Amino acid sequence: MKMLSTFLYHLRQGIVGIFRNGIMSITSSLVLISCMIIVGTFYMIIDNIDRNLKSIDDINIITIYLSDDLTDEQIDKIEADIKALQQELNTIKSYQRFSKADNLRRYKERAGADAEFLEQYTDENNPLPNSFEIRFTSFSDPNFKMEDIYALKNRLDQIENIESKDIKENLTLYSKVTSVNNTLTIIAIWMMLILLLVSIFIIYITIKLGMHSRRHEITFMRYVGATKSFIRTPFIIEGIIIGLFSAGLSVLAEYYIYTYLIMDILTDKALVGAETSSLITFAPFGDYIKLLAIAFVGLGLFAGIVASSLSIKKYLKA
Amino acid sequence: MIEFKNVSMVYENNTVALKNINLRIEDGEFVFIVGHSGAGKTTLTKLLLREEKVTSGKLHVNGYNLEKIKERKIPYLRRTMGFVFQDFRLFENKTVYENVAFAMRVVGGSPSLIRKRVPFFLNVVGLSDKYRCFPRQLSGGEQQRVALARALVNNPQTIIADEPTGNIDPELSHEIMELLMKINRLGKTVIVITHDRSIVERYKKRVITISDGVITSDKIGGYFTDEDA
Repeated sequence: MKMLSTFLYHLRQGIVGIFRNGIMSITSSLVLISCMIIVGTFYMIIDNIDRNLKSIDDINIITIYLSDDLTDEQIDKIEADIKALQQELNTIKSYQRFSKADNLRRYKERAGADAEFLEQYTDENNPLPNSFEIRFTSFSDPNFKMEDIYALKNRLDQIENIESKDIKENLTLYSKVTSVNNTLTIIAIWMMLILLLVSIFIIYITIKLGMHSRRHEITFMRYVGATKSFIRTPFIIEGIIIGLFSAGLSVLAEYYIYTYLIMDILTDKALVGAETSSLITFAPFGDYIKLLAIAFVGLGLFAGIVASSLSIKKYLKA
Repeated sequence: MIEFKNVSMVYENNTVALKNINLRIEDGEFVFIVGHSGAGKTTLTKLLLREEKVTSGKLHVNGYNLEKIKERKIPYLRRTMGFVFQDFRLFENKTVYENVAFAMRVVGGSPSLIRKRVPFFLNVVGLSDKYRCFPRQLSGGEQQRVALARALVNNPQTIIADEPTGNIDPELSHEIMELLMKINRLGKTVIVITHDRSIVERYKKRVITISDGVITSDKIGGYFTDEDA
């Protein structure tokens, strides 16, 4: 009961503190919100690019096309070599051998309704080659290393009757997109750090101003025998409220930014004005809301508590 | 009980504020501490509050050993003392009631206890009917009585009044002094720091004179000479 009434007292003091320096509190919040929104937006963009990249079916496949000159025995020899390689390296998850006929059938299946023009091709005039598809470690696997895949490619190249030009993969696409993503991540982290510092600084000033206007009260509280934590708590609560308020608004803002801004612009909906089929598919906002909420609340609490703790120090000599 | 044993206090800039003070104030005593400004009276109160630490010697205050007290215990030491200041130090934006309640609130007093004790102590100082006034609506004497109620409300063992009559009309000064006497009769130790001769002479109480950081006299009786003051 006493704890509750003390808590309510602190809470009320904290809220009063926010309104005492209204403009500063709003400024603190705005900077903190920009920090959160930048972090969140960058994160969602990066994650979407990443998801789309990983969802490309044959992204972690190396395809080897074989020359039509090869005999079945020579192809068997190649398969044996690949099998040996699979046992030696743990980068090959599986491999599959496709005959010319297999490839023609698969091609027709994939073409679907457009397959009519393929009808003219039969096993006799099949233009497609024999091939192997080697599935390697998934990009999302924590053990994935780009160098391993290049090493694998190198080894495949050394197999007799396989020519470099016939080994196809999407590694360059993957590494290019990944490096763009890494750059975006670095930019996001720096912007976050800078804005976080700025917001901590502004919250610090806000609370400091509040303390300055209450310095007589604080001195009196010390004389009467208020504990440090009692004096400190309302200011910490003030910081926490600013942090939580900013976090709440940021999640809400992110919802609108993500669903109405990013999705629309990147899918051209806003420009074309119609549901055009896009190359990019977006994860629903629901996938992010929990993570964003946790991250924002964490950031908000961190900024609020650090800033208020720093500002109180000076006034709390014994 | 307050006891100074060979207490010296030297500030960081090497100013010697107190030299080898030996002083014992029993529970329930009424004591005047006199001396001109700069004599060391302020340092004495700062030591009692443990705002400053003794440079050497031993200081015991209401059961706390002040050379060894842990920082987190300091608030509890301070709760054994109630302070009254020359300039009242009331909060202008709080009513009489709120000013007194605030002192209880900040040491964690529960609302129900506050509702009981604040009116009681406002009654003790005779301001029951003015509980809704703001300090600016009160005379100096009344404001000091609010400050007294505030000092009493947490039930401290000792009341320390620093020039309590300094800002009050002489005619009203004795009102405050009578209140302090009344508080003393209730069993509290009362320490009045002052250089108001007329007051000290009127009440035949123990007078401790400090001059240049040294106790120059410690006598029962209301007198001190010009050179002491």
